[in-house]
Amino acid sequence: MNPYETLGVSKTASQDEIKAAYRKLAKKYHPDFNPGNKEAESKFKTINQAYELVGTPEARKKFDEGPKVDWEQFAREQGAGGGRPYYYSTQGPGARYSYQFGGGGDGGFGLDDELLRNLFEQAQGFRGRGGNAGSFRGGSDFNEDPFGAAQPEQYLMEIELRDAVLGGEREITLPSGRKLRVKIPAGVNDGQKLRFAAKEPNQNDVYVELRVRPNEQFKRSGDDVETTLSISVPEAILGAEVPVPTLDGSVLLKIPKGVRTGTKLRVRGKGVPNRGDQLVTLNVVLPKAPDPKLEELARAWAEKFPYDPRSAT
Amino acid sequence: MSRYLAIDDLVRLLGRDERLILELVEKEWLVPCEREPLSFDEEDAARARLICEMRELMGVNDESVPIILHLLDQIHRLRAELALTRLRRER
Repeated sequence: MNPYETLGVSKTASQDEIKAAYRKLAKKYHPDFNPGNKEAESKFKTINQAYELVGTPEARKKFDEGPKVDWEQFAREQGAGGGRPYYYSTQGPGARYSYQFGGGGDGGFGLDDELLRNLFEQAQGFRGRGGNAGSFRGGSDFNEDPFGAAQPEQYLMEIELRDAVLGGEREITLPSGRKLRVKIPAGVNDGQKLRFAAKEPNQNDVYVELRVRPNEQFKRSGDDVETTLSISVPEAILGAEVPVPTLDGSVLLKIPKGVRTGTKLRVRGKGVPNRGDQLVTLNVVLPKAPDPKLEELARAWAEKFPYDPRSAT
Repeated sequence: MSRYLAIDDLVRLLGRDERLILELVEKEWLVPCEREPLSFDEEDAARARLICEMRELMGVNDESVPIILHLLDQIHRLRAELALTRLRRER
């Protein structure tokens, strides 16, 4: 077997040309883009083996120097796809990705285990989840009947922002009537899905999709939490120590002298535990009613210290 | 025997760095079966390997990976449903 021929390049081809040829063929024959096509799978294997031999300057040098590679041994070691299960072979009916997350709507098909067994074992030669699981732990549940497991139950759960950020625990009742204690990890996001494995043979796995209710006071920004805090003019000018609400209770925040509306202060450790902070944006608020003394003070001060707040500096 | 693969198992199986697995989870290209502790199944392992091959061997960029995965997942689902429809019609 000549790897150059397999890849369709000359022996004098550059590494870039070899790489480009490999990529082109790999895209064409990758088993996941040709599901069920044994010929494509075999070609993909051969292309990979060829690329292993000449894909890097070091490997190519070894190959070009002499027939030191026992190709047959190499091929035996690689096996069919290196003994791996290709992604398509894991995507049968009820597969998590094609059925739960990315494959579109329900489609109106009930899933009949017996029907599907016939369908995929006989009509299409589908290998199923256990068909080629040798690379996984020996004797694990992966070697069981591919469609023996029941369909997972799904549940949409609304949670407060506090629970999403800090974590929490809730008990839910599934449509089947089964109660499930759901531990919400700290730092989960809206739309995130949690999977709870069946504890007993007659139970199904459960997917819980989280919906985080909007919060008027706090907003999420990655691992941080953002909030706005109103302060008085004297507090802004002179500095102060004021209570600020957090998702975890109120804390005292030290405001330095001379802050403005829009100044951001950080309260450490009040976002997602061990990862985030609370960012407090200050909003300087004038007294509700006009005050003659304040007006007089402002006028006198403005005459002495004029400044243009609209200038770039 | 555990039904799932721990992250260490997946690292060994794929021959890749743990950070890469965490990156795939962070990008939500992999949805682990359980998050505490992170647990994966065979689907995850095969999907992770496919993602690695797309990025490392085929030159697929990160913007394209989720699009390709989504289309593949739709194809898998459609194939299953099409075959099911055929079988029902034959009965």
